Amino acid sequence: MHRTVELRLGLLAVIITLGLLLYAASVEEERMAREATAQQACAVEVGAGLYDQHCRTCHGADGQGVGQLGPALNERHFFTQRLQEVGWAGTLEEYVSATIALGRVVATRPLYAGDGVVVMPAWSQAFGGALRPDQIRALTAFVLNWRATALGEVTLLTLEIPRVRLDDPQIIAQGQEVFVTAGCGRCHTVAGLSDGAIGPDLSRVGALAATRKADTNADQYLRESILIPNAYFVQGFEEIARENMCGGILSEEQLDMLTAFLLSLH
Amino acid sequence: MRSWKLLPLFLSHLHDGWYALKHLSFAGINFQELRAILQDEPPTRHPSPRLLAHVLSFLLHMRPRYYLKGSTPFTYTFRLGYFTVFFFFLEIVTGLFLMVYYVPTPEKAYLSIQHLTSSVPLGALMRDIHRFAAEAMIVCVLLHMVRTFVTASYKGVRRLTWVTGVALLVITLGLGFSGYLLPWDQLAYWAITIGTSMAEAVPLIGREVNLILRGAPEIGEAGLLRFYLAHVVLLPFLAILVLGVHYYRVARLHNISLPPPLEEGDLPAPIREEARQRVPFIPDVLFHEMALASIALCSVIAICLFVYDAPLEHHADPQHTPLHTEAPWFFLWVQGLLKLGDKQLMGVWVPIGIFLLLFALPYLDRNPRRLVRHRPLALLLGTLFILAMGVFTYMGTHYYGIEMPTVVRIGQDWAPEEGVGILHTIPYDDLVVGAYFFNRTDPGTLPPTLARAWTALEERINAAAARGDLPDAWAVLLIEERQRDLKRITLRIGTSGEDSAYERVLYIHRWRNGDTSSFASPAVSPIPSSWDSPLSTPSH
Ligand code: HEC
Ligand code: HEC
Ligand code: HEM
Repeated sequence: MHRTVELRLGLLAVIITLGLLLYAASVEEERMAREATAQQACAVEVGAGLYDQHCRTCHGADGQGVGQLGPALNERHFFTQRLQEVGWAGTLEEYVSATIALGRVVATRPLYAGDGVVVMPAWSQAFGGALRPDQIRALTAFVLNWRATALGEVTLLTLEIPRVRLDDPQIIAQGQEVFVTAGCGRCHTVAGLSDGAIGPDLSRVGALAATRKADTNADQYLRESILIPNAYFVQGFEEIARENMCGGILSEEQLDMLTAFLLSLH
Repeated sequence: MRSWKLLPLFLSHLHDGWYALKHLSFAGINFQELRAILQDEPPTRHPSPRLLAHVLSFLLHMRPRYYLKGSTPFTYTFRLGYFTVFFFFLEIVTGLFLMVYYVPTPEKAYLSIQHLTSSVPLGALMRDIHRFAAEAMIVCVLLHMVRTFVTASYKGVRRLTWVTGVALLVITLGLGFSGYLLPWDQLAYWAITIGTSMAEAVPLIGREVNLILRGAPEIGEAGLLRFYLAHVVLLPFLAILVLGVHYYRVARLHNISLPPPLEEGDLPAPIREEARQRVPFIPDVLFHEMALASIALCSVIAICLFVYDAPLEHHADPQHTPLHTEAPWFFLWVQGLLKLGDKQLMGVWVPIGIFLLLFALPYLDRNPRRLVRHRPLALLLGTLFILAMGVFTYMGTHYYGIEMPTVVRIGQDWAPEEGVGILHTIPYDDLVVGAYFFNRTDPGTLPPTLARAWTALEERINAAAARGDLPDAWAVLLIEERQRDLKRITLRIGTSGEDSAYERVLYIHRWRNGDTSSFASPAVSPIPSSWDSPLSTPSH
């Protein structure tokens, strides 16, 4: 190739290179913003998977909380008042990631007892847990992503898929077992099964449940009675209930089974 | 003092400045000489400043004063050695930039790469260039080796040049391998785990070799630091040192070889005479190289801006082996060999043997002739060797010799853990919340993108069933909304014969591509009233 041709091509390439760099610099702000968004989105996706694996047993599949096992994380209170309540000086993000990393030795609210072994285990590998720092970051991103629904900015479309079918005889049988082992029979009578007399007779509760509370269906009412005994008092039991609560340490799965069992009592 | 009194002083400075400018020279080449060069005129002084430059300047003294005309055609060397140096230089420049932001610890490495690409202006471009140039450098080294083999430039006085070349090949592969680990994502972690696992098979000292490489039984904090230091200190220094020797032998001792026909063919004397003419380094070679460099740089930047994206998978997870773990592509041939047999033989002795063979080639091939027709055996063996390496490389990929259940393969195509699957290509809003049942959901009710994916899935399962792979298969696709802008997709495939169904859960965030412009209200598709067990129980 002749030298002048080479020279011109070379110069042209230099000019195009400069042009490319200028172009790259001019769209860089926007590109970085996109990249940051994508990274955040990816963290939420990863966090969701980890949540299913490690947290849903105590905090519920949708962060709605499970009885005394763990509080709700998807509610307004958590996003608006929780920091003042515990006197946390940092941000909610720091609070969440610190909580996940460290767990809780003592609950800040006596209602939440954890699963009977720990209140909430420490998750950080630094404190003997199972999760790496990047996983804790991802979980934090996921938990904080409940903000929009918690504040009522959007409502999700729900696909009502019961985890178990409440009319499945096998589930009902398992529920009966839970009823016995959880000691419900100490206070409740179920014909042919137990004769506890402190709480109401549950022999026909499957039929009654739907009629107890105005805007609550049978299934919901039963779950609530077990989890939050003070939400509604059966007539005549107001006094007794203050001293004797239903409760018991139940997993979400056990709760499903119990509900199926109680619903079958007609 | 009045200011006009300063005028003579100012003028004299001006004069000095002009004088200095006129006599300003780089390596003995001043303005006049530069003008003469650019206008294709003969040197302005004697002895020629163009030759003197090589004596005066440190940098230029490394380059030869002239090339022989016969060795300069582009199609003879393809400038592959030059391009290798070019990419190596690019690696050093971009590498220094990356070093400013990179943190070599398992806690911070991945984060620092994320930070680099999302918060450092032009950081992603630098990373793309660094990764691209690394692969290009390896490709160039390999082709360069093939070129010097084909033109038989490794004979006689150039034997040691070849040997230093193979040393450079080893160092280049080492640079690529050590750099591969640094992003600390799944790709990096498992490729290097596979790559270093061979070390265990070394007899007697396998455990020690492995420990020295990894710093611990598993790659972790110590291993990452070792790879990092090898990548930024040890190997670059070695490369520069050996490159010095290699290039000294080419440039100062023996010059680039003439093409075989010019050296030993029966071409007429005038042509051979002409081939021995000298092409001066300044200006001919220098300008040619500068033009090549600027064109190459321009292409690399364009490719990295518009085509190439350095991969970054999910964070490294020692607890979770991805479905396909592959060594870096330039070591796939070892993985391919491993599928053929014993770990010690195929993973240690054969690769070592191959490199020893390469080192010893100039001493094994005693045939002094260079013309193609005089070395049929060498060229035949060389071709077979290259073909074999190609086949081993293919065998190293997951396409060869890995049995995977049909359902797993389907899951991998629709919802892979890394990268983009068919479900990822559906626009977020087209992922209509609902439950979809094999051979029952009417695709006509779905958005076209989802319908296409769903029909393709049904066809795929039907095809497998027809082959007898998935007898009586059923499948369910659940799309749920978990949070704002976050959907969970569950793909469940089962056969009537088996107790448990295959299940793959995938989360998709609306903005996973960083594109925040799309916004529309989601829709629900109703669950048919007669839905049955595949939905409610994971086990069928
Ligand atoms: C063994 C049950 C259990 C598990 C498993 C568990 N948590 Fe908790 N978590 C609790 C309890 C109980 C509390 C409330 C303690 C209190 O009131 O001080 C809590 C509190 C929290 C809080 C603070 C809530 C508030 O209102 O202050 C967050 C955030 C949280 N958990 C996140 C997680 C995440 C993320 C995981 C999964 C890695 C997880 N938890 C796993 C039981 C659990
Ligand atoms: C310490 C005694 C005690 C135990 C143990 C107990 N309960 Fe109760 N339960 C009560 C009392 C008192 C009430 C009535 C007050 C109220 O409605 O909240 C009640 C009410 C209920 C109701 C509402 C009944 C109705 O007719 O509306 C249900 C359902 C129930 N319990 C289920 C359970 C289950 C399931 C368990 C086992 C996990 C259980 N309880 C364990 C004392 C107990
Ligand atoms: C980092 C890697 C390498 C670099 C930077 C490099 C660089 C160079 C350069 C610049 C030349 C001048 C000629 C040309 O451009 O083709 C050259 C020549 C040569 N290289 Fe390399 N090289 C490398 C690796 C290798 C390898 C792997 C081999 C073979 C195993 C090799 C063998 C040779 C030989 C034999 C010559 C002399 C060619 C001739 O005289 O025609 N080099 N090298």
